[in-house]
Amino acid sequence: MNRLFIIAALAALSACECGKPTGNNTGGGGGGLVFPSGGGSAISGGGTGATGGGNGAVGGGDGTGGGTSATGGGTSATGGGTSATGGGTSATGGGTSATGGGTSATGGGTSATGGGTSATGGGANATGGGTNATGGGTGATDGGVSNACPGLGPVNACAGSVLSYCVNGTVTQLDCATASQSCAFSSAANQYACVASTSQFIVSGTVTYEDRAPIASENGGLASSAPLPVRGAEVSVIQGTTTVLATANTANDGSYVLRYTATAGATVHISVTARSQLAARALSVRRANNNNLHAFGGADFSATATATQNVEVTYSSNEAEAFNIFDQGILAFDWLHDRLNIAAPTALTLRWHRNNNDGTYYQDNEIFLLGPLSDDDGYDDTVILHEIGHHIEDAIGRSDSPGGDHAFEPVDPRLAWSEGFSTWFALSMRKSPWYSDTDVNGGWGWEYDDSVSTFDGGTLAGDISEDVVTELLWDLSDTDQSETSQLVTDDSFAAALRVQPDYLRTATLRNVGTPGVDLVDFLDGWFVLNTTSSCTWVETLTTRHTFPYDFNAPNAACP
Amino acid sequence: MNATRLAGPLCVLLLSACQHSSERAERKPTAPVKLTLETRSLGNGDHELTLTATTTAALDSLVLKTGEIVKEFTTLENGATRTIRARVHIRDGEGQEVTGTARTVKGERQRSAVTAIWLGVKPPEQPTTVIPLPDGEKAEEVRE
Repeated sequence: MNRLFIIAALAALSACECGKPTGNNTGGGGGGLVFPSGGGSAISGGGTGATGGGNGAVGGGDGTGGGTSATGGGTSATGGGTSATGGGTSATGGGTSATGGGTSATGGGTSATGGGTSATGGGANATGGGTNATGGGTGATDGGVSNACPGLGPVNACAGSVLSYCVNGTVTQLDCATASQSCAFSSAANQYACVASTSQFIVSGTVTYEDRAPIASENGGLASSAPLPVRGAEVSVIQGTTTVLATANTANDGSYVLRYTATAGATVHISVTARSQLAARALSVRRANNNNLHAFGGADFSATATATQNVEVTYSSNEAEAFNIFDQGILAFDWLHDRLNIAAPTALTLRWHRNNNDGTYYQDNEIFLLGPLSDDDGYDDTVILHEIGHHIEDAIGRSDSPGGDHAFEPVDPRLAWSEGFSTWFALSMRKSPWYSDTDVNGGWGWEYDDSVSTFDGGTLAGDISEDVVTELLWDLSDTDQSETSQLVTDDSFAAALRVQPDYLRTATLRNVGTPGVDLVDFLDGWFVLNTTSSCTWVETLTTRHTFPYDFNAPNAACP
Repeated sequence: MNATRLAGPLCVLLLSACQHSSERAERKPTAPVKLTLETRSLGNGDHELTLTATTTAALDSLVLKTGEIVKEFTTLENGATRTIRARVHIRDGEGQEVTGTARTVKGERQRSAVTAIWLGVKPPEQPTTVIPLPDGEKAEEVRE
């Protein structure tokens, strides 16, 4: 059996695509990455289609089976021996003490640790946890993406022949050339990886867009244009005008490496589309009038063995703002993935085009954004993120807002909560207390850290300004509980945002104010999740804003 | 096609500062004022602009602007209405986006609102190419 496996592994070695270790966490074990692997005792390396696996096998191709102490494992690997480690895409099975685990890993042995995205099953004492991990044996603990690499993102990256990928929260590098391979986009499952050097053509480069950042000012305005990387978008080689030859995702630095097959000398170009189909980045930016995805094409070039094509999405093309909108979505979804372990938020469609006059609003997993030059929201990052905040409420929390117009005047507590929360979400995403909405005359801005709005609605059911909500949330999620001006951090923001999924989403609300989610219910959730150690600090805040919270959260009343 | 023919002898266009397709839409924060901008053709390419603002909160100050006209109103009650008028000229065969804007002040808070109407010939649509993607979606590509 082992001999057969070794033969199969060696035969497949040259065809193996060396991928990233994708396992992020829990639940199931077994399975391996797409590193050269193989089979028998002390044998390392192994190819696609390898089956079986002996004791001490290391690595593993797209194989099945796995012996005792097997490590690594390829795409679609099944089975797994005792103490198997690593895990590949769609790995199934898993032996006792299996560790690691790839995307969609299923099964898992006793004491399995690690586990990939969508891991299911899991043996006794399984620890860690993959995104969307389900099942889990006796003693299984938690789940999540605690080992994400925020700077790198889920796509990995190539720099020449060097692959950067994420292992347990650490960006790890691998020179593909040492295995006589190239670094390039591999597949939707593996993203950038070490791949076999073939006769295919390769084109690489960087995609950027012209950004104009909002100015922190009460008079609004946008800064001068500066290029930013287009991260996570689809980038394709197009032959002629419309034939798609190959598609990849851009890395977080905007870089891409694409392999394609074409007739030498054929006219091709690079086209970048404002969409990601990764579960963690289920985002698309479309025209508001016809549902088409926004795309920008680079210059023509001739198909050849290697080429470099940098693409800048220009403001004058009326497409740069679409990619800025896309980037705000990436910012928010990556944060949810990295900080709240939410790997597959409900897909979000953002709609904008130049002169779109359908207003700026969120509804049913779609965001519409104004596009006229007189009031263009395409570069208004806080406006975009405010609307994404409404999506976050829908996707992971709860909103009972009736909707409607709102400024800073007192309104229905449910509307004020939803709007104030969404503004706080936008500010926290940018780590800045400035909100701004630009227009032809500059627009307006407001700083929420030092401002103090007060409540004068009488009872807890009274109308309240959304600014009271935003200011109180900002102060509550300051890095320290003090009177001094502080900015939120990822950790302090996460502690407050977690109230949405971990309390408001499922809790039976007290409804001492207006029925439905409002600021009272958030504060209840804050104390339920964070204990009553912050009673004094929250009392300081509610007193400052003259909000008559009763500090009587369920099972978490302040003394 | 000139601006006069486009506008018609008495074509009144109304646009609110916020247009929304759903009653339950979660809208962006606005200024506490609603704007309408009306245009009336006066012939020979001349148009009268009428900007009307209705406050949705008591304000310390409201500055309205349309065309070359700018006017400030102070100490307004919630629901107060103020109007300014201006004239613009659109040359034959040309077009222009005309705007009506408001800046509100209440205490330390300033906010602004805009409404706009296009008069005359609209600029040509940007040329695009629709690329059918392998999954059946369509990408609309702009190239420069």
